Amino acid sequence: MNDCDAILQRLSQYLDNQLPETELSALRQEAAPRPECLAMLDAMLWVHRSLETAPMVETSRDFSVSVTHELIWRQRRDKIFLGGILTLAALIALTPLLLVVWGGLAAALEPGLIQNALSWAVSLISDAATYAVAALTLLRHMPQWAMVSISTFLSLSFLLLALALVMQKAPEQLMASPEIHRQTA
Amino acid sequence: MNNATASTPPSERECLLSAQKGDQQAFAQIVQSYQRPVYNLCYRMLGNQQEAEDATQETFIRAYTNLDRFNPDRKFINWVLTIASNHCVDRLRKRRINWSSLEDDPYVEKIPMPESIDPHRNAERRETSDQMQQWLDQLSPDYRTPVVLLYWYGYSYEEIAETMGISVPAVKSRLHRARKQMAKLITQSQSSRPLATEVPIPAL
Repeated sequence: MNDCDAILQRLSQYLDNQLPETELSALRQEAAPRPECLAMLDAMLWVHRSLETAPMVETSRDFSVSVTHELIWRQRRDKIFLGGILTLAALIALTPLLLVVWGGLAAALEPGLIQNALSWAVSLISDAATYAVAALTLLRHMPQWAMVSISTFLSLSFLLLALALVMQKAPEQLMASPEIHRQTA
Repeated sequence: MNNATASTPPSERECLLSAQKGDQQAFAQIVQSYQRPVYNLCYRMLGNQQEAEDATQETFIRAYTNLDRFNPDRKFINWVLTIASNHCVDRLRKRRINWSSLEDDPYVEKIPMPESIDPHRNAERRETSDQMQQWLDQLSPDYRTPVVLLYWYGYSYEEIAETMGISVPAVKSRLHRARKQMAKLITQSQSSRPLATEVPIPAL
């Protein structure tokens, strides 16, 4: 620490009422031979005095209203979030139970239901492969307008199917399948 | 100077007890009572009106949600100002400005000197508080907090230390460095002109 730093350090102590009143004149005398140090000393005094007299900043805004509104909103948000988390947790917790119950019910009501469902899925894949090979063979000899028409028709069909799948539940879909009904009849 | 050991006044204590039980109207009264000092602290710390308003609102919301942790043996204003200063320091740090640390050389040597902090020009068109705000904005959050708490709220070293979670010697050191940095800003803006003849000197 050089001499000027020591002088400024003592000035800070003086400003914090830790040194006697006479200390300031002594500090100024010590700093006087060095203009830069004296300038820093005076600037620190200026800062201190300006800070001492700086007023409180006013605001016209009434925070009591906005804080109350914000609190109400946050409480609602927290409740909704908590409710969502609890619902999700309940669903996750219930899923194994529901599956077991559904499986038990299905086995009790329709003993061969699971096996039938599996065989239906295998036959569906096998049929789809057959249809695909046939379709490829047809496509080779098909005019362009027909391909466009079929493509449009299939796209629309898949879209409708996707929509229907979204709207339905998987177990209901299986039970509603005509193939299942035919095999279990 | 404030008295950190003083307890909360009875009427205020009733409001706080009601607020602790969930009475938002009671808390609204508390907000009305303390919005001015909290806003001033946020403004002095952040230097921006809009951000200070947001910080003030957030301070009161944090106060409400943590009201059960408030010790009535403390002054409520001290507690809420602690929340405000911590929140403002967090905001300042999120700005990702490369503030100087305590161990660094004076920060003022590393930053460009804005035209607007020339005290000669500002004296004619801005109030002292505006000038102070500009210099405060140049300080790192660690230096700014003790300055605001000391000069605007009359906090003792002990209260500042408690609020900031640092030791009393660290408070003194930061205050000294803050004053020195602000003084350096002034002398740099003065360039060749001596400041001694320009600034009002306290009576000897």
